[in-house]
Amino acid sequence: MSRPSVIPGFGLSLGYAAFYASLIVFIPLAFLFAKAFTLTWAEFWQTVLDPQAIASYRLSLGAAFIGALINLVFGFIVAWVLVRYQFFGKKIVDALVDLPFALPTAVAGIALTSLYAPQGWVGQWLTPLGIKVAYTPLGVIVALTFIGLPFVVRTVQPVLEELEKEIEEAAASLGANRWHTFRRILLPALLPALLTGFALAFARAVGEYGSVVFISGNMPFRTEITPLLIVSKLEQYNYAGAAALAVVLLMFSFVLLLLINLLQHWSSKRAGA
Amino acid sequence: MLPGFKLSLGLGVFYLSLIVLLPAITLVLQTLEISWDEFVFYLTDPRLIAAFKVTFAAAACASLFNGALGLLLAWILVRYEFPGKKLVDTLVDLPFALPTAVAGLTLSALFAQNGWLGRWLVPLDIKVSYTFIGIVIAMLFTSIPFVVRTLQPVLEDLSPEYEEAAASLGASRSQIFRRIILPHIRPALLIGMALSFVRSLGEFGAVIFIAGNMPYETEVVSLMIFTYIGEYNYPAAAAVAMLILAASLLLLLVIQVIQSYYGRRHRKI
Repeated sequence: MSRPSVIPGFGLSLGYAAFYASLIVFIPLAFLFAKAFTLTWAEFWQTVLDPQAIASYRLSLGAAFIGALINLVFGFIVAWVLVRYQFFGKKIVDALVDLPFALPTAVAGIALTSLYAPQGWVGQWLTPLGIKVAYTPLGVIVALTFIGLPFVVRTVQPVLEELEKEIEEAAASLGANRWHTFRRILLPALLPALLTGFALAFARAVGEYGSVVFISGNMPFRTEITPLLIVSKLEQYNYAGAAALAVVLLMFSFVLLLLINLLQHWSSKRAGA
Repeated sequence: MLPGFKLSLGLGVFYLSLIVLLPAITLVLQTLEISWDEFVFYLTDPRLIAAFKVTFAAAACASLFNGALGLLLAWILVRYEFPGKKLVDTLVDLPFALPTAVAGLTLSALFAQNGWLGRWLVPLDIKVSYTFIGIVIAMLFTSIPFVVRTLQPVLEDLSPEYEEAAASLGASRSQIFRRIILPHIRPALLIGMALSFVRSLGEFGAVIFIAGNMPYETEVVSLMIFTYIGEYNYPAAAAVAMLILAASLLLLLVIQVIQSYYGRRHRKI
């Protein structure tokens, strides 16, 4: 374990990083747990297992997962187009990708609502088809897809840029068809980055509040997301209750992120082998 | 290898325009509802200009810190094995999953006079809550995954052999870092920092709880936007948001120009 390292030795840099990570990430999280458990067990379970809360976990996690999945597929295609092709206006398209990050989320929520409301630009075409977006779970998915869009594109882009076209050409010249080349050459190289992007988009979507509340309509049991329940608890100065719900949300996210991480580890090991 | 140029370009552009371009156009149209004079009036409000200065300065500080320390964290996670590594790796993403309002409240409780961290810092005369530092910390917390996650895959690609080769040829540590590692990771590092900067500009929930929101001192732009929304003044909110967007786009374009400059130089060598 003594590789020559450029960044000052293992001990020191591990120390710095651990210090930084703990200061910025772990201490606030630990504090949050401590706050949640100022409730008694009975109070904690009552807050957390409230039927309204359970319905909200399902919506929050489900919509975040679907949104991240949509972004996984289309984000990959967008990254592909941006890296491999030259076309007019490419720089503008590239810059557009980051727009969902730059837009304060409340503004994004209002823009999306006015688009997808029954009289809106997009809504007026969808309503006759029987598709309702605003004020339904579908609207939540649309908002969460919007805010997660840049993640997959931006994590895949640098890896794709490193990946030389020649490798694919070599595979093709050795008789691999397109699907083969994709599955055997591209996918193993890109999978870790794709999974990272997916995980980030998912995590970000779970915690998202501002853009969703405008488009979802916030009907209890139907379109109410967990962050909204948390914020309404905060507004009643019920900080411990809010922390309890946040802890549950974090636990679910943590388990899923851990799974993604293991999958990623496994896939990068396989790619290396 | 993917279905040819036209199909993937078409799909990509269709998706982008559906998800991103349409809301952006809506925003422009909302802004157009007010007259030019009103537009100028809103955007030259000295309070807004002060808020812009605070927001940009804090976001710049946050993304610089993120760049330096995110690189360190990514380095550790890629190059070293230690117990609990997977746990640390997973925890990096959690700040995203925490609703930002909760993050803000937690941070402000931590740094309050009787908080876990505040009780050590306040006697040293370091005030975090309700100051500029508080804003920077809230932005750091909400954007920490960006740099780590964009750098990780690129660092994984960079095998230690290059560094060993450079070292065996007599390069010093700083030379190896500057000549071998940095050129390789620069695109990812810049993207990560730009994302964290841009994300910080729009951050609302986490910041307002710790910032104190004093006009001209610790008020951020997204709070002013939120105030407009609370007054149902959507056009004004859209106008201010447009300004943030324009600034972000400009920054991202500048980064692209820098990247393509370095990319070209890199290839020549």
